[in-house]
Amino acid sequence: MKRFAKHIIPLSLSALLCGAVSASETSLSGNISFTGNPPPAALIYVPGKALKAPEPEIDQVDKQFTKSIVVGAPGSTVLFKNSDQVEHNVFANDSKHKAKFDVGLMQTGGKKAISVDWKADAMIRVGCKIHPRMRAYIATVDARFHQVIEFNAEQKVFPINLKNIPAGSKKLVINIPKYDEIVLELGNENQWSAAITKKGKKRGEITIAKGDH
Amino acid sequence: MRPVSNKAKRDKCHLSKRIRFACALILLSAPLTSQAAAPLATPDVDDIEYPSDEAPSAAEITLGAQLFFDTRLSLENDRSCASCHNPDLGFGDGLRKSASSNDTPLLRHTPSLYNLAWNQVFSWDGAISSLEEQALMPVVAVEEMNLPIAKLEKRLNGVPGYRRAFLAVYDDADINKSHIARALAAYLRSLTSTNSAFDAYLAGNKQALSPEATRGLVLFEGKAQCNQCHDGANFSDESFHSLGIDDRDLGRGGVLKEPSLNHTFKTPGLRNISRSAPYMHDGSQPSLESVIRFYNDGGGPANHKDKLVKKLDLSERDIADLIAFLGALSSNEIVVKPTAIK
Repeated sequence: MKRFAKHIIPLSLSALLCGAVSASETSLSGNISFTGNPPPAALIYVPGKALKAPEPEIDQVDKQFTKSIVVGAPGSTVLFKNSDQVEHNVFANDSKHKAKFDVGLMQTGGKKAISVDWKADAMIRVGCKIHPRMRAYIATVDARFHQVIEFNAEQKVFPINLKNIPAGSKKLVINIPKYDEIVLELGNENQWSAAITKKGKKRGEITIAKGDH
Repeated sequence: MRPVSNKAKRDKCHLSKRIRFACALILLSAPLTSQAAAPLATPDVDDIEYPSDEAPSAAEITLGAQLFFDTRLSLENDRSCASCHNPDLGFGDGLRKSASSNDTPLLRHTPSLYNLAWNQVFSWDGAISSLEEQALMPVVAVEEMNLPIAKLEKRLNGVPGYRRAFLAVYDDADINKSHIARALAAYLRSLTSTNSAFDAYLAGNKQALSPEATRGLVLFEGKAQCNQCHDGANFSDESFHSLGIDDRDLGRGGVLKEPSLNHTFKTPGLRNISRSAPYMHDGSQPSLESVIRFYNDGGGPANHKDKLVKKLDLSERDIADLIAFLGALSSNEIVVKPTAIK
């Protein structure tokens, strides 16, 4: 099973567009922990349409995808690249969400963009027909502010840090492939916690508070 | 000891310019055709992905074992799963190709069953994506056990002992295809090999490997480049390669309808490999020695051969050392064959 080193990708569009943090923005920070081996990655996001749809890239190196989860909003494109020394064949076949594509044989140095034209609110598994261990996910959600946390087996607790999100944000969604989705109602509270469950069974915990900690 | 992933290794290369330079030297010194190999390691049960997210109960595994050894799972009551997957022969059958239900040879060599629990795809061509699906495939295959599902269900429902056992495990008195597959898959996932001499060596006991096997390990990861495909905890990249064996079997290419993958087959794992001769998808190599000599000669003659397969220039001592290392991948599981359930 693929195990990544910690790799956190904070994304704050408002910060990119507006510069300094304003009074109408806040931060959320905390941590996520697992009782056993963690899953490959988690997506944590505040729902909302991005001002400009992200166009993520997933490369292939050492017979692994370089990212476990990317956000491919409805209508956007996801670019697959092959920087590996071997051929790959990226595909998805999710009949429930009508996400079906096959980029065909991709030689070293190849690239191919895939249109996200399937049903929204989906976590689409992507694989390689030649290397069955390879696995990544395209989260087809409107996630204007999000963080992808890549987990690894060497640690049990992983930091969360979402910056420059709108102060009045109502919800925070935690989406881990094959786990139960968590939706935190932010309301007027300052801190939140929830059990991370998989098919109803507790597998970990998430705690979040307003501000940087 | 958990292996460090390749990506983690790459990340460590970012620590300093000095280390980056060293990494660059290592990369430049590697053969141009080499691939990044996952570290050899001891399989971790925590890495098994169970369909229900839970390890099966002892009762479910026992039920699966009853089914696995039961000849009533074949139309003529003359063969069980264990007929071809004999535990005394490393869960193979010692034959180049097993005999079909009409006594002609099957298309491919019977593979061993050890450590399938960690696999993502199954069969030589990777056409099957779950162990539950794989478990029933030979039962219903006309050329193998030839027992249609409806007859299988009816036959097992007629055995009081099975009805009791399925009721106890699945809380369902009606024995059905889904539960039969789950029980068989539970047993198959229990066939693990994790405590070989090599695992003791990895755990720190450097005396666990003989000097020959220790040299064989160095060759395995070095001059012989075995780990280019036989990597990771189960010594398989689970990918598909052609060794240049000249036959009509399209392998993975036939499944994907992708001509460039024609004649490629899944890399078999090497746990307990010394018990399950002969070898290759067509069973064409009778011994580990012949396998190594086959690779040493640059594989087979067919032009679809993977570029990784090339002449190795191994000495006679190298060949003996590699055999010694492969022998050190065997463990001492005791397989209990259950008596027939009534």
